[in-house]
Amino acid sequence: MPPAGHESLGRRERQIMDVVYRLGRAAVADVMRELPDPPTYSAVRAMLRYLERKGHLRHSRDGARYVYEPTVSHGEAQRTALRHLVRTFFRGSRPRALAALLDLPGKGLTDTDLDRLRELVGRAQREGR
Amino acid sequence: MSFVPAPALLKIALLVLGALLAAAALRRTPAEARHDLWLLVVTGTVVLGLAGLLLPAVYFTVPGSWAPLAGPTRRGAELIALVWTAGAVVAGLRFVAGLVVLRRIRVHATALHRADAPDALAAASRLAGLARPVTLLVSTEVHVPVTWGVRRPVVALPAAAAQWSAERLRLVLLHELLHVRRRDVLVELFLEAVTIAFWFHPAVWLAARQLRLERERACDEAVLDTGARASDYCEHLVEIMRVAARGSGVPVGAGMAVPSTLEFRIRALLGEPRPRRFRLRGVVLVVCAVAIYGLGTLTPCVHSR
Repeated sequence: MPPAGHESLGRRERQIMDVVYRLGRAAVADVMRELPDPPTYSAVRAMLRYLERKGHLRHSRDGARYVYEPTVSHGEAQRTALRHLVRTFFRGSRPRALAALLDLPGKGLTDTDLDRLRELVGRAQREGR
Repeated sequence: MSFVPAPALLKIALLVLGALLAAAALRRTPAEARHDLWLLVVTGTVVLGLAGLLLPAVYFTVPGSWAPLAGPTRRGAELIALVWTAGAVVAGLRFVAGLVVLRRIRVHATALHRADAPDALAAASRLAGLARPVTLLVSTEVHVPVTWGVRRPVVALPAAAAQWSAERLRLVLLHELLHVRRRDVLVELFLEAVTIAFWFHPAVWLAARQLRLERERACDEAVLDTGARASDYCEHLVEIMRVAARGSGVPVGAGMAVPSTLEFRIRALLGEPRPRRFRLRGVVLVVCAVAIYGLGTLTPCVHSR
């Protein structure tokens, strides 16, 4: 079954996927080492199995260990994530997404700024300027 | 950096510092005068960067402890060249991406479907003193009015322009066509080239920012010179920006509502008296050009016994 996007995953599951992508292949102990504030060994193993059932990971045997790797390549996962980002935040418009990425930070005006300016303009209009 | 020796970087910083003082002294004059000053200063940064090739050298002795100013070691120069190239490529890519966005906007934009649009464009062209034809478009991809194109100028308005009052359409078109008449897009391309080459120099970015600000203020003042009331014009600026605040800007081109400078411009339009005519504009530019020449020729050298 092809996996759905990672956006449907919980926080911990997404952290595990990030670790597996970063390492390429990972056993339960590798994932535990990389996770911030890791849960128990059996909890991590259960989550890896759950991710495998969902189609995000597959496993192979490395001696006595189970080693997990992503079913979707890193590049494909990046493209899916970007498509999701563009669809969700930029109404599917790539130029709009690009323009937002190119925008310099901190140059926008907030509604409060605009209200303040509007008030200034209103005062000037009343004074006939 | 490796192509621009260290003294030149210092001279550029001094030039921009001097220009800031001069611009402060010229604050009661028309923005046009400060715009021309900053354009000369930005040109001066290029001249100072290439002074070794363009200008004769007038040597002056500096203490031996200043020797590092003469230039880095060969290995240091190679490293600096690498960092400079990486920065210039990133800055260049940003510019190219901006052009791609503009091209896509051009492809997807449509004509402005308003019965009064052709007359408004013709009237604004007349007031701006513009003889060249201009393509007027609306696009859902732009959130503030924006102008681009050197040979075939294009003005793109946000989709909301279909519902604007006739007065707002007239003022917006006038502002944008003033950019076209002044050939601000050409200046913008020059600015982009200079800031890509000097991506690492804050003084050059500051000069570019001041030039862009004065360009907008010059167009604002020219709009008011046609008889528009400052407070009414500012109201249109704020309302256009209120709609635009929900979207993102176009990275290349010249536009009327630039968020980073809008507040400053509105306060200047409402708060300051109308600028007086300035007769000494030519003198200021000559003094600035002489300063650039003088700075460019001065070359430090360490006295060897």
